[in-house]
Amino acid sequence: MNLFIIPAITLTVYLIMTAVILRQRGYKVLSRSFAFYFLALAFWQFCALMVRVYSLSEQPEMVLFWYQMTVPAIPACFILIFIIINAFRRDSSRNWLCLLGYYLIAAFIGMAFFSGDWFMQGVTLHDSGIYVPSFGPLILLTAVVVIIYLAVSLYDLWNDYNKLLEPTIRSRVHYLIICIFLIIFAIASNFIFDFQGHPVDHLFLLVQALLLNYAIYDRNILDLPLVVRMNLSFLFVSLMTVLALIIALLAFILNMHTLVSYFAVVYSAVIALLLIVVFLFLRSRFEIFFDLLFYPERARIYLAVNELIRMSAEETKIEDVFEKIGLICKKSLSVKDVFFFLKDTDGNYYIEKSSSNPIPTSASLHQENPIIKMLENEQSSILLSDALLKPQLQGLWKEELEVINTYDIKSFFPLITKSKVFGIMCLTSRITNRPYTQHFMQMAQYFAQQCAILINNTILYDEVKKAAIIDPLTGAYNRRMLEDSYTLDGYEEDLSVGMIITDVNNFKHINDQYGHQAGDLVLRELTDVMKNSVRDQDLVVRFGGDEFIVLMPGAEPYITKKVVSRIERNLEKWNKKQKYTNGEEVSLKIGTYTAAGESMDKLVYEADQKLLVANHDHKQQQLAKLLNESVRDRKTLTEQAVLALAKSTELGDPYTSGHSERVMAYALKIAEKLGLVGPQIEALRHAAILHDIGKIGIHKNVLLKEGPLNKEEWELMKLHPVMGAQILAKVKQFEDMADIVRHHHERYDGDLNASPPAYPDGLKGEDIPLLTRIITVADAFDAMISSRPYRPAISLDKVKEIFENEAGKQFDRNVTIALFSCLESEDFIEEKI
Amino acid sequence: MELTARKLLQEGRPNDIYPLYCGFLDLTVEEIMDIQKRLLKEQITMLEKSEIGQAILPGTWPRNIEDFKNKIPLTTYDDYASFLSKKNEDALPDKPHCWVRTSGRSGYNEVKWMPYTKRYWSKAAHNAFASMIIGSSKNKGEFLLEQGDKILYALAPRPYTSGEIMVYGMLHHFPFQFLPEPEEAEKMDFFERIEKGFSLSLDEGLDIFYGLASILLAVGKQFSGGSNTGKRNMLSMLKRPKALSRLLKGYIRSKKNKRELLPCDIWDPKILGMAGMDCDIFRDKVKYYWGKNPLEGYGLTEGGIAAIQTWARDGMVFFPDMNFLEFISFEEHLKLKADPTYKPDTLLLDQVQEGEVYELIISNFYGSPLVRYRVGDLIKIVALQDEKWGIKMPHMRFFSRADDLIDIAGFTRLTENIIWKAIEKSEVSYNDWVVRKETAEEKTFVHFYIDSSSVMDKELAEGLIHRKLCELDSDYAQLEQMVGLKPVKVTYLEEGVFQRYLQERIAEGADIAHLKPPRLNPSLAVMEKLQNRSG
Repeated sequence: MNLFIIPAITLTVYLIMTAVILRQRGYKVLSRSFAFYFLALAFWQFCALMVRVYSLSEQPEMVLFWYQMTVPAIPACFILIFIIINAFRRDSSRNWLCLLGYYLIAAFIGMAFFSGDWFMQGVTLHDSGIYVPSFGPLILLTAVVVIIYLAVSLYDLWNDYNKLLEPTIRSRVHYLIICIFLIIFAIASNFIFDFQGHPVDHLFLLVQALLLNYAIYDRNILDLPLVVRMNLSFLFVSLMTVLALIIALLAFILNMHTLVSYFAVVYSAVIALLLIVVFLFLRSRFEIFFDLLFYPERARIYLAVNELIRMSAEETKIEDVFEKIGLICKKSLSVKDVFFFLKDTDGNYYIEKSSSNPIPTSASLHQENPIIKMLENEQSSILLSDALLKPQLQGLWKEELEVINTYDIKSFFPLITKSKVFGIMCLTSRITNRPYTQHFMQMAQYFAQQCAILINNTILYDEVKKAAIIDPLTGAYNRRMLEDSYTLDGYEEDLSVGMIITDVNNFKHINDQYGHQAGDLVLRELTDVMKNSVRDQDLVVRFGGDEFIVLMPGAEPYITKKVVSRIERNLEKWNKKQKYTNGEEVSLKIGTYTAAGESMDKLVYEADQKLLVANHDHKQQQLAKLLNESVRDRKTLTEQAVLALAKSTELGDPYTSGHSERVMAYALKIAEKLGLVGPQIEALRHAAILHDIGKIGIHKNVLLKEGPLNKEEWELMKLHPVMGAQILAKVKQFEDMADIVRHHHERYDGDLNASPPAYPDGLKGEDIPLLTRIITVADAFDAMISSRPYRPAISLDKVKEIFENEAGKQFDRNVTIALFSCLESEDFIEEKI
Repeated sequence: MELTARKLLQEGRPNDIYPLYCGFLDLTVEEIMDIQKRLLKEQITMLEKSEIGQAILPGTWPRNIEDFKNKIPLTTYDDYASFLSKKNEDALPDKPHCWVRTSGRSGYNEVKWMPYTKRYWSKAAHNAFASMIIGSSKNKGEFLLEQGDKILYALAPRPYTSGEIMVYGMLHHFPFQFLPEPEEAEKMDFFERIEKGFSLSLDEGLDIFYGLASILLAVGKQFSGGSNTGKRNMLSMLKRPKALSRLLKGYIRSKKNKRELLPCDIWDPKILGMAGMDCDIFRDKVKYYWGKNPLEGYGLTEGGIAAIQTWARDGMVFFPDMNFLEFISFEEHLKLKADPTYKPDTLLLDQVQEGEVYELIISNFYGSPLVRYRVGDLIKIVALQDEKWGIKMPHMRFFSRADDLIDIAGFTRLTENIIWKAIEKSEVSYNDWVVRKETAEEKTFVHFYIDSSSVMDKELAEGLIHRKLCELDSDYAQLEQMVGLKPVKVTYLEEGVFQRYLQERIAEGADIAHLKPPRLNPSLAVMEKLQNRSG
């Protein structure tokens, strides 16, 4: 009975489908060729039905006739499948092959009708009651046609499959390929004797036809994998439930005889419960298995996200997090690579973090990049191939496109925290050319959200950890790192440790002259200079304001020296391009120390001491600091401190060494001759020794210059009496001396244009305090009889001559006379110099 | 990385083709300005480093728009000639992909060479293909082109821009089929190419036909039923069944409509595209012959495919990503004309006003070399947006060449376009014509020199043209009303004089753009030649 029913059913189905397809709107060519295809199938079914009818009525001639009529249907199916594929692909280049196909179908039908013997010459009745045909010579021709159209169809589909990115169409191509194989199986089943007489080919063809219809028209309506998965899951659940019940029942029946009945019930229930527990465990395993089978992508991503959640509970370094996420991401998302861009501290650029090892090259994405703007505004993933369709992206620059090209970036996922994008996860092309489907993008976005949480937490943890030991201004380690005995990698007490101690010469001057911002930038860049000069394992520590220590575990003295040379070289290069000090060179005082078997505290102490001893400028700063502290605290300075202060202005200058003391001595002698006594003498003592205190503020390049000063330098130098007065005015003990010091470069005649000119105020005559006039003479006298870099000492006779000439002009005549009187004493000069 | 329609088709994404090419029509002016300014920034960084850029402005280039407008001088081809005429590639901001040519001024820079970088070339072709999408569709969002659509090769071959962009550039974006194939077509002269193309399109059909408006019209005329050539062709068609069937269908259609055989009876192209300053004049006739309202585009060798009409077929919109656009107001333009050292203020696309005429200034994007370049065209902003089609950017129409204006007594400035329309719509028949502004006895004349096979009374002809000018230009009409001036003067030249001039110029090997005399204000030398040939 089924011999009739199956072909009859399939015939009806084909005719209905033909009618349905002809009612489809659009796809004109496609629908037409589809309708032809179903007609061909219907014809094939009809012939098969006739074969069966006449086989039963034992009319071999009619069986042969309908067999012969069946033959054209086979090549027709392949040709029409090819035409459908061609119409589906909208490729006009193979139209000629379609046309030829129609001609061939017509020719085969004609030949079958008029010369059927060319295809099938006769039928013989087999023992099983089936009529078996014997083939004619032209059957080979149909085989050739079938092979050609089959090959071209598969070739075209395969080519398309490799180029297509649109997932729906790609999936359709997938089904079309399956359909072709189903027809091949259907035809092959006719040549397997065991299947002859059974409607296997019809069933194959029916499935194939339904699948073809599904592939072309209804792909979006029905999710086949979902249906299969649901059914399998349901089947599994049902089987397991039934199994559990049967086992429980068996256990109950078997135990009924040996155990007391209520105990048998409990015992069976326990077995059932155990089975259910096992079943629940197995069920979740099977569900994962089914998911991996039918939705491998989604299942892998869920597993990956679980892995990320697990990682977030661990304490991990950010570098390790990137590495691990990268590996998980590549595996679960099936991408060739993944890159992470994090927003930089200045907010303008994203810097690269990559899963690749090694990182290809550094890259950045500017925040003005339209893709980045879009990503920040919309805060959702961007698929490049979709984004490039947007006209807003027409403003992309060549170099921006090159970054995307170089890294083969195909999609962008924002890493968001507190509603702000702090980074981007970029995925490259997928392995084996898998497409970026909408579903995949959703899953990857979910994955990116988990990555964002993990990365953000790790960064925050890292920042908190670093903040404790990192100096925020320079990024170098801070003193706490040493004090808290943070681990110095590779440091062991019996190993030698190289130590480089540096401080910036005259850093206060940089701050005062160019502002604190410039000072901060200088410190920050000097840190970079040092970091770039040391070895990987060395640590750069900001020890104090402008003091740095480089700790070098295991470094012998020669290594320390090498690093020092590197620092000096890099500093020189940096000085050439830095713009913070208006061309003025920034220099470092560098000391080195090597120790072994000493504690970290001892090392630091030794280094500090060495620095203090070695660095004259440091002393100078200490003295300035002392003065400042005194000024701040209004403390009284001791005599010794005053002397130390005065000496500080002469540090580093052999030519002026002892000048203040000498001026004080000459001034006191002159005052004696002038008859001064008591408090005036005391005041003169202090004022004379401190008269050049203002030179603390003058850069040493000016103070120690070998040669005449230029105009700007001279203007700077002329500031020292004013600066000195300002310093002294702030110290209660010395405030009366401020005026004395301020005017020690005035001229008695007040001439501002004379050589040397009067400065700073142009006072003259008695307006200039007497003590000042005395210091002026003593100061000039000592300067004349001392050597200078640009001239030798002037002879005493010549000095007298100058003073005679300048009396009443540069100098007070009375004070000059007192000086001459002093000079009569032979020990006046020798005893004091 | 570059997305093309060809690639999208391969990837099975035909629905993405429209947004890729025509998505810009949904941009707001602000978004367009963002794109313009961003691409200009990139262009400045490239120009700044190039020899050509340093020749225009030595040193560091400004980064903001105001400084750019103030510091970079307006340029003409002469500013680039020393680099471009020698094809000095080292001096360019970026490596050129190809060199295209156009015609310069007669006697000076007759051939203007222009380098296109790969991105500029592809963007020009991208925009050309966008025009095809708009031209073939009736509604926003439609994409009706198909692979293998047939295009008639009726363009100047490369290295002319039309051949480079509208043929090779177009093929880069979409698998069209040109009739004849480009390699074959380029071995033929222009007329051979058109003839062969039409012959092939009789067999294979014609989906797209674009070219200069005058070509569309000439071809239409040639195919009209009455020509002997047509009849001869019909006989030879017997060997070609497809062509014959097409002709027969056309013949029946024409008979059904009781008129001569027209191209629209034979073909129904998806796109009819035209360019050139005479579009407005020939639009109606082209429509009559081809049965379709042609799509107008605005392209130039120095600026790629710059603007296109949309579905309303009224005014063109600029492509935002081809060139940086600046506009000199007409008043400023006149000041600049009077004093070439004058520094006119320029406006940007978001600052133009409806109804105003502007001189167009462009700066190429994507590393092509021209910056603040005076194209030499005046355009008129006809609308600031098109509400019906939801296009929120200014629409423009070609107004005139900047040099081609005849100023009459300060009352009106006649453009070539207006004059052409006037003579076309008057009943004065002509084969060809030129017009000159002349002064005699303290009177200004608009002097028409006409070559015609049917000469009419001169006074009658003057009256007819004058009336049409009054109809077309209200300012001109006031001339008569207020000062009683009727400045039209007509002189008939000997018949065929323009044809003879053309042949002589071909024999001299003149450039294609200089074969015919300029229609407006031809030089005295040209006039002498024409009048001598009139005998």
